[in-house]
Amino acid sequence: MQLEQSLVQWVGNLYAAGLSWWTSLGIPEWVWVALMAVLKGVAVLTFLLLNVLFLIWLERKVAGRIQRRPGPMHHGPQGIFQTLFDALKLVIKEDIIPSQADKWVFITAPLVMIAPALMIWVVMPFGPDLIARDLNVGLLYVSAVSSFSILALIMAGWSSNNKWSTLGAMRSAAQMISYEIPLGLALVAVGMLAGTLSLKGIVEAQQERTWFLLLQPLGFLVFIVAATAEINRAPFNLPEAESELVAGFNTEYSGFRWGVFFVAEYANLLFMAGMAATLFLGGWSGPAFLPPFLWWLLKTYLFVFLIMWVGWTLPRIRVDQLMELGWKFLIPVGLANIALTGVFVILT
Amino acid sequence: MVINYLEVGIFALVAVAFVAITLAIGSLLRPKNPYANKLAPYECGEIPVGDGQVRFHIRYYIFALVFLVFDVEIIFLYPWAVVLEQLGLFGLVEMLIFLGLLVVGLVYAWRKKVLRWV
Amino acid sequence: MSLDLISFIVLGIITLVSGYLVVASANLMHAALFLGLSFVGVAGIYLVLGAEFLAAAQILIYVGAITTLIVFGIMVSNLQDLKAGGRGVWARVVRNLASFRRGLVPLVAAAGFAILMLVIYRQSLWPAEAPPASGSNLATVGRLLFTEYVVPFEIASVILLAAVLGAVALSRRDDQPPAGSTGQAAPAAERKEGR
Repeated sequence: MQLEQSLVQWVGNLYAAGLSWWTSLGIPEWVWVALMAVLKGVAVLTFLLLNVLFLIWLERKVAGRIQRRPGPMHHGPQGIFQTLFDALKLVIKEDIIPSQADKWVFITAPLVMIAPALMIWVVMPFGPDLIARDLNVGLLYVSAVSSFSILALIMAGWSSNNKWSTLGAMRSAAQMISYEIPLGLALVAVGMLAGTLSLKGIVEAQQERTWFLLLQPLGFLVFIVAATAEINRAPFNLPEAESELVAGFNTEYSGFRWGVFFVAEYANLLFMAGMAATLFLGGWSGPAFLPPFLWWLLKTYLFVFLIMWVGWTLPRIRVDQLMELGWKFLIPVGLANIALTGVFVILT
Repeated sequence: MVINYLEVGIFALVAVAFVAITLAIGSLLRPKNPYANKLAPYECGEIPVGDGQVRFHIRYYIFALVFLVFDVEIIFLYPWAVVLEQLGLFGLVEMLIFLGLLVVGLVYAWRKKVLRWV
Repeated sequence: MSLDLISFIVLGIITLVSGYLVVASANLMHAALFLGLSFVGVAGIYLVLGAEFLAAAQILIYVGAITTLIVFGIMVSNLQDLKAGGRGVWARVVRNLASFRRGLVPLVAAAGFAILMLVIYRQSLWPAEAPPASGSNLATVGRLLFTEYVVPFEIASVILLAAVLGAVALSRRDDQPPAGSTGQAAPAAERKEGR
C-alpha cells in the first residue's frame, strides 16, 4: 500500500523534475511529454503482452478444468511457459501472404487491429495516479476507439480474398455494430450517475457513493453481455466458429501476423474486464490492506474468469438469435435503463 | 490542447512499431519457401472456386443503416449525461421525447420484421 | 515550431492525400478505406482546434458507422466489373498527375480555390485567439445543446426517425410476392444471395 503510493509519488516527482530541467534547456514542453508518452506506451504494451501470455494459459487451463482435463502441463509448473514458447514459435513461422490477397490491405489490417487495442488503454485508471492520461471525454473515447476494430476486421477478411475470411469478417462486423449500441447505452448510464465521462472521475464517484453495480444492475447486465459480444467471445464467437468458418476473418493469416490478431483479441478481453471492474466495481478503490493496483488487477481477473467461465459453459448461439438478442432485448433494456437512471439522478 | 492527446497518437505508433520490429526480427529467423499451391486461397484443400470476395445479402446493409441512426442518437446522449444534473427535470423530459421518437422507429422496424435476421 | 502547427500540417497532409486517393483509387474498397483515413485526419484537426467532442463524434459516426455502411454497401453490390485494374493505385496516380485533363486542370482549380480561401482568410477579422478551452468541452456542448438549441435537437430526432423509416422501407420484403411475377429465377437468385 505505502510502497505503491510512494513509488508513484517518486515517479511523479521525477517526471516534474525532468520536465523543469527539460524546459530550462529551451526545448518545448511537448517534446518531453511525447518522450514520456513513448515510455508509457512501451510500459503499457509490456504489461499487456505479459497479461496476454498469462490469459491464454489461463483460458486453456479454465477450459481444461471445465472439460475435466488438465490443460497444458509440460514446460514449467502447470505448463505456465507454454504460451511463451507458442509466441516464440509464431515469430519464427513462415510469413505467408496469399497470391490472391490484396497485399497492402492485408498487411495493414493487423496494424489497424493492434493500434486501437493499445490506444484504448490510455484512459484506463490502474490506480489513483496510475493512468496514462485522464481524458475528460473518457467513455466517449473508449467507444470511439473501439469502433476502429470493425474496419480492421473487414480489411483483414476482405483482403484475404477467401470465402471463409470474407464471411467471417462480415458476420463479425454485423455483430459488432449490433452490440456497439447497447454497449454505448450502458456506458452513458454510468456517465449519468457519475456526472462525468472521465474514468478517474467515475471511480471517485463510486468511492463517494457505492459500487455502481448496486445502482446499475440492468446497466451492468447490458454491459457485460454486449462487451462479451463486442470482443467476439463465446457464446458470441460466431465469426470464428471453427466448425463452420474454419477461423473466420483470419483464416489466411499465418505466423506473427496471425499472432497480432490473437494479441489484440486478448488485450481487448482484458480491457473489457478492466472496464467492467472500473465502471461497476469501483476500479482501484478498496480496503487499504492491498495497494490500489492490485485491487484493480484482482477485480479485472474476476471478470476475466467470469467471461471465460460463461464462454466455456454455454453453447454458441445462432446468428438470428444473436441479432434478436441485440436488437430486441439489449437495446430496449438499455434505453429503459437510461430513462430509469435519468429519473434516479433527478430524484437524488 | 493537442498535448492532452499526444499519448493517443504515440500509443498507436508504439503498437505499430512493436509489430514492425517483431516482424523484422522474425524475418531473420523464419523460413521463406513460397510456391503457388501454398499461396493459393484456403478452401479446405480443394482448388478455389470463383472469387473470395463474395456478394452479400442486403440485410447487412439495412442493419448498418439502422446502426448509423442509433449511433447518432448515442452521440447526443454523452453530453446530456454530463449536464443532466444541472438541467434537471427539463433535460430529462427533452431526452425522453428524443428517445421516444427513436423507440417509435425501433418498434416500427420490429413490427415490419426488419430486425429479423433470417 | 509549436505542437499545434506540426500536428495540423501532418493531419492536413494525411487528410488531403487520402482524400485524393479516394477519387484516384480504381478499387472501390480502397476508396472506402482511404475515405475512413481522411475522416481520421479530420478528427485529428478537430482535436487541434480543441473540439474534443466533435473529434470523438467524427470517429464514432464517420469512421465507425459511415465507413462501415459504405463498405457494406460495396459488399452487397456486384463488384465484378469494378475491380478491373484494382491494383497499382500509385501507377494510376502518377499517370493521372501527368495527364492534362485529369492532373493539371484539377490541380489548377484546387490551387485557385486555395488562393481564394487565403485571400478571404487574410481579409476577414478573426478573433485574435481561440477561446480558451474551459476544461470540459463536453459540458459546454451539453449545456448549449439542451438549453439554447433544444428545438434543433428535437428536430434532429425527427430526422433520425425518418432515416429509420427509410431504412425499413428500403428493405421491406414482400411476404406475399405478386403471383406470376417472379417465376423461375427467384429461387436461384435467393440461393445465391442467401449468405
